[in-house]
Amino acid sequence: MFEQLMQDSLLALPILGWAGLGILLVCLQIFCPRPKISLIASVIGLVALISYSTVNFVSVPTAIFFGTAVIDANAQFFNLLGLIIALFTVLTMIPGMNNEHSKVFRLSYEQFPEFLICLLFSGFGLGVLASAIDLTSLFLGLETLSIGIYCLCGFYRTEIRSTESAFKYLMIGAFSTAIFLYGIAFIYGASGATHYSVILETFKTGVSPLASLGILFLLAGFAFKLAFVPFHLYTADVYEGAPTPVTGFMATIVKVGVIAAALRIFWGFLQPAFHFWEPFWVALCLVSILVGNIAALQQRSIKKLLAFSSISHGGFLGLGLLVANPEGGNLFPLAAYITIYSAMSLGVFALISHLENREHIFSVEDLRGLGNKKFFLSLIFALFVLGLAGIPPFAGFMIKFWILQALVQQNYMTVALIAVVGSIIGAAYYLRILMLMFMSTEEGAAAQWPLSKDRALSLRFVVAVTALITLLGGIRPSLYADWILHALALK
Amino acid sequence: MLNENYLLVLVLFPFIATLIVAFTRGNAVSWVSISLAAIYFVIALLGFSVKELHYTAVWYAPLGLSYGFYLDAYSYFLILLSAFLTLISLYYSRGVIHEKLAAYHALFHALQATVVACLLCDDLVFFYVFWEAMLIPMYFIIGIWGGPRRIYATMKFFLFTFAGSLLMLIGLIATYVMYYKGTGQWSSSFHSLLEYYQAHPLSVETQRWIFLSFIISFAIKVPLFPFHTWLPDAHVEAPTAGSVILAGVLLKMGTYGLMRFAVPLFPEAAAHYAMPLCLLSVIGIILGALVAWRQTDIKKLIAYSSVSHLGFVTLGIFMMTEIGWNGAYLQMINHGISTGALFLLVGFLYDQRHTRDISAYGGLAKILPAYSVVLAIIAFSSVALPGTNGFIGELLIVIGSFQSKVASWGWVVAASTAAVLGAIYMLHLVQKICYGKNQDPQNEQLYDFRFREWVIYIPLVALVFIIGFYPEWLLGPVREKTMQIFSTIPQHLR
Repeated sequence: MFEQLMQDSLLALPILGWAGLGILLVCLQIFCPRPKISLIASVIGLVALISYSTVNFVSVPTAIFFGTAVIDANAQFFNLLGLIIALFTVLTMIPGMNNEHSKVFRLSYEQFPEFLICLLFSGFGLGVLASAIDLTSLFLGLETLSIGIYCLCGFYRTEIRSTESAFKYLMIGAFSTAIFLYGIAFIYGASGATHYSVILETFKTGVSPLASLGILFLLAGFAFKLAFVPFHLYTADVYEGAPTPVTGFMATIVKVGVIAAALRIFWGFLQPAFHFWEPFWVALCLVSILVGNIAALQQRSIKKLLAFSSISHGGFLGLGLLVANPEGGNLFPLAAYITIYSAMSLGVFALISHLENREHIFSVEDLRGLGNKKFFLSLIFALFVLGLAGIPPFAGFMIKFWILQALVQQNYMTVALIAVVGSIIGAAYYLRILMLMFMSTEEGAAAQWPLSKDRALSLRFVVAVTALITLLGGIRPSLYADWILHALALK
Repeated sequence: MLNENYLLVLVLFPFIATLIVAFTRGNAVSWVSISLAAIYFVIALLGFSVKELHYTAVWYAPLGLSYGFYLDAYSYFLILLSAFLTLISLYYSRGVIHEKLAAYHALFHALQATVVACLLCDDLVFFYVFWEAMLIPMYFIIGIWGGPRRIYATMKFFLFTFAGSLLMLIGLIATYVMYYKGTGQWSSSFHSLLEYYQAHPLSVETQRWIFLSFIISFAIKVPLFPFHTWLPDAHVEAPTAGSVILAGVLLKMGTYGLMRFAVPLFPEAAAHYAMPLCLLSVIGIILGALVAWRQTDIKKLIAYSSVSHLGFVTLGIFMMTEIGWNGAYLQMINHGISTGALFLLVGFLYDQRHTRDISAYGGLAKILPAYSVVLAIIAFSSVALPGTNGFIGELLIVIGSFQSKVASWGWVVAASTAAVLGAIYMLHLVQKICYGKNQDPQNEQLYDFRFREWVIYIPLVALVFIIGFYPEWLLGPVREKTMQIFSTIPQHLR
């Protein structure tokens, strides 16, 4: 049995690596409590894990740890994506820590190792979530992911907004966890098992009303985590208050993890009940796309605007999940969407964290005239905005195109049409950002805020990589699609 | 003589030009940009003898994506027009635009690049990509260098066209997916789609709604009544060169899309909707003319006259006759020349007086004799006086309509009466500006054409008469192409 465990651990190394790295940092805190050393250790560790999991790719799905988890293409792909997101978040955070203009940053600097530890453990949650094939391990993964993020949101502990964000997220998170757990309990009650394959067997013979109730609660739980309308009310405030690199992290990694888990569940044991949950799910996605885009029109703060934009993107991701049917469907649109969306979000939040000044709320109006003062930076900002709006020839268009194509292919004509209408509405607020940056003759606050003296090389690296993906991803999909197809073993 | 690589040069050159211009600094910008535009015009001229060129390449094999370029008479003359108008408008902008010069010129080259790529695409997905990408440079051109209400105008322009094109996207994807379902392989190449849909026509129901999704997008771009409301705003606020390209090239993309994609792919649906579409065209013609008549702003007048003229073009298209299509195509080119010239002429006055109010001018024939002559010639061309280019185009549309099997020739009769209205507002404009008494002493200070203006207007005026007296050089290749397209349309419709 011990041998078996060792073997499993080796297989799951990229996932266990998160926790290992986290524990290493905790130990470092005891012996050598210096932020710089923790930082270097975590960056090296993450890079090592990323390279390890790209090189050692397990192509045969293997159940591990007594059948609670599985290592297959999906698990490895989503875990790898999470690793990259975490690395980029750390790299975005570094220059902020050296910003001498902000008291908030300075006061938090000593706690930087804690930031890294929370980040790594919440990443571990993602790994568990992506590989779980049992409702218990699923729940553990979801909680680990969330708890880490609660702490990250409140990282600027001297700042009221950050604390508010953490507390709101904690309360809503606890609430949604309860609902999720309720769903799990019902499903367990109906099927007598927590393992996906056993539940599937019982569901194949019919879905009882109790199980249907469980499914509904499960859907609601996922909708909370993905910030689907009408479970989205916390999103704007939480995104606004959290440290900006953390906002980028939250906007991406939670979606990656939840989508990975949902993929396994929706097209696993919920497949027999497809006709039951399909209308609910479609409605949630479409309402999110529409409401997200309409609400974003009204936002003053740029981070809140992006929060609503991420809600609408979540809706598209949900539609991607819908078309990822293993029988006759295609996983590629979903994987491409989450990858490119993550790149664009990380890029835009990195830019905002570079510009922002925590003493004020960063309003959209502050961007006025930025194009005249910092042309190159504004150009890249514009690139991300056009990408998020889904305007060709940038990568943001291709991912929408693939989702729509898959929808039409599976005869979801009306759904595709409504999603498109949402995108049309969305164009208005994205264009407003461009308009303020380039067409205004006045100069807003963002152009005047003093920037850190730090040359922010690590942040520049993140922005450069994500900008390249956004720019070239539409024209040369091979840049990332090869990787996705390979990782998901679709080729 | 020329091989497929010529197509690559045609497509890539403007993109490279954009980059070169964007990174040029200082006084060199204008000249570098104008020379690049001139070189491109020469490159485009080289293709005159080419009848047909095809280039395909794999874009991304695992997903079955490929791309292709296709050059024929339909795309060629519009590319030539675009290269010509871009050259002229950039030359005109020298000395007019001073702010952010590099960005200005780079955006015009980028616009040229997307337009040419869109015209040459033999692939629905790529067509769509460039069709939308075209909006971005124009959005910035109007928004940064435009008039006082530029932001309102540019947002309206972008959102109108963007909304239309996204609806087209669904229709486009449906066309593409149904091909896959029928054949088991992915291809978005226009030629394979066309071949497939001729052999296996879609049910009339399906054709109809896909056609509608295409029509909405193209109708907004053209613009067809009642989708025209963005046009006057965009024209009035755009800088002169922007108006020239907008009217001369971008509007043509809508009619080009109709002739290239919408009607050949879905002829049954086009015939089904011929009646309402002809009605909208005729309303556009009459309404555009009437509204133009009452304008006091010269640019607005020309903008509404565009609505009226393009109504004629769409009428020619929806009547579905070969002769009508030749006329419609010719009229697209004519409109590019005459309206482009009119906008430049307005710009000439505006740059000196900073007003576009008709009543501010009067008796210019004495002060600016050369200007007045050119204005009169261009106005005649716009009214379609015999001997000018406009006459040939409108005549062909009218003649063609009598053979139409899908719509009554009565539409054209109604439209032709509206042509009289066209004469009224155009001559009204010329009369107010050039004749009568000069009320404003400021007009005495105006200077007439100098070398720079002659460089711009001699080719334009020459084209008016060249096409007017000898249209065959243009109509010949176009006629062949139309014949080829019509051979694919079911007998009972053409």
